[in-house]
Amino acid sequence: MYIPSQVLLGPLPLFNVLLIAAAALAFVLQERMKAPGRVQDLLWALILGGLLGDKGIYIATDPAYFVHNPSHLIFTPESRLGLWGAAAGAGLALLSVLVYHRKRWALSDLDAIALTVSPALALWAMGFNWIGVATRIPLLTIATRHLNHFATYFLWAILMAVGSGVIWILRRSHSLKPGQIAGVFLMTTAITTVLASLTAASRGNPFTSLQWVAVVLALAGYRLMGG
Amino acid sequence: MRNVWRNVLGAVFVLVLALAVVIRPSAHQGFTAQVGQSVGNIAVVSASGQSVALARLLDHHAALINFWATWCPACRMELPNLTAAVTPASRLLLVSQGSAGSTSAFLGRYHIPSRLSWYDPDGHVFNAFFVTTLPTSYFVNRNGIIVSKIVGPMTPALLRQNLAAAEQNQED
Repeated sequence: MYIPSQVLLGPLPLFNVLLIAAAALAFVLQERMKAPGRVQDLLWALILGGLLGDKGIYIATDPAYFVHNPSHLIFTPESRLGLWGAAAGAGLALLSVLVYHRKRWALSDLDAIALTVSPALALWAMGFNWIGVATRIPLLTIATRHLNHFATYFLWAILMAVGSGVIWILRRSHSLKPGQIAGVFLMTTAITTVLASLTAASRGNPFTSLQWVAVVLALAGYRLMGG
Repeated sequence: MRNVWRNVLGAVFVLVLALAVVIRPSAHQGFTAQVGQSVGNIAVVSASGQSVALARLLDHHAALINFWATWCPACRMELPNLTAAVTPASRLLLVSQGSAGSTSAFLGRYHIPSRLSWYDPDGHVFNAFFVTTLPTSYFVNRNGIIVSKIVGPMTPALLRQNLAAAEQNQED
């Protein structure tokens, strides 16, 4: 396996290229499913809000530098600052869309979001720099540049792809109540995230931040699966 | 959807969560490039192929150890800022896996002296510091202790701020 952050396609890192591809995939799937416009608005808000928040926080910390070197915004440090900026930007944008369409939301919208976001996440994950503990398991080992570490991002991408397959099969073969597909998506995402995190070196007390996020997803999924 | 599937998935989640508590990665022994650890014993290779310990290169100076590559566009973006930020109280070490000849020629285009360039031909330094993203920068104090780490290209403000913190840090 490769090291995602060291793969460049032209001037763009793999992470950015796959983000664009994943967004395109999500929009194509939404068109095919004839998802309501408000669901598309939500996806735009998530992507644009996250990007603007991530880059905006760096511009705010050193405005003169980025005014003189705007192209440097393609590469910004991987830091908690950027994560907080992205989370704040995406959160604000999501809130705006939620409030704007406040009287029209339905549980079936959650299903449309799950069906499109799930395969998009599986695709985007191939560009995550999520690298685990030392290993030599074939196919799941990063063997470039003498690293020999677990390709945790690849495991997560495969598991997310399987989860996507499950919810798309469920959509075709069963008559489900609104919100239940979203429930299965959240549950499978929580399970795959904790499974993948088992290969990573970070430790928590008793869980890591990511595992706590998975707990929240699982609880929400369990609730939605109840119909 | 019957409740049985809901309960099955719920049970699977609880099981993997329990595994997360039981199967914990073993504690690393020795150097893992964490803040507070000493880099002194790690050795890099000079352009002439001679292995030199970082402790000798730092010589009781705070330092910025920058892992980079000539093919990496983000590294090229921050390269001019690195030499500009370094003060008389600190040192700059550029560590790469490229060949000495082509790397020196590349640095020449940026008017950066090739004596700042050090090499890791077998990858053991990159592995010891677990460098997976280029550039990655480690700031160490005058005792060779890691004070901070930045993954990705730094803005000049971020660079100056971390270097000043490394210069002022006295941890032993």
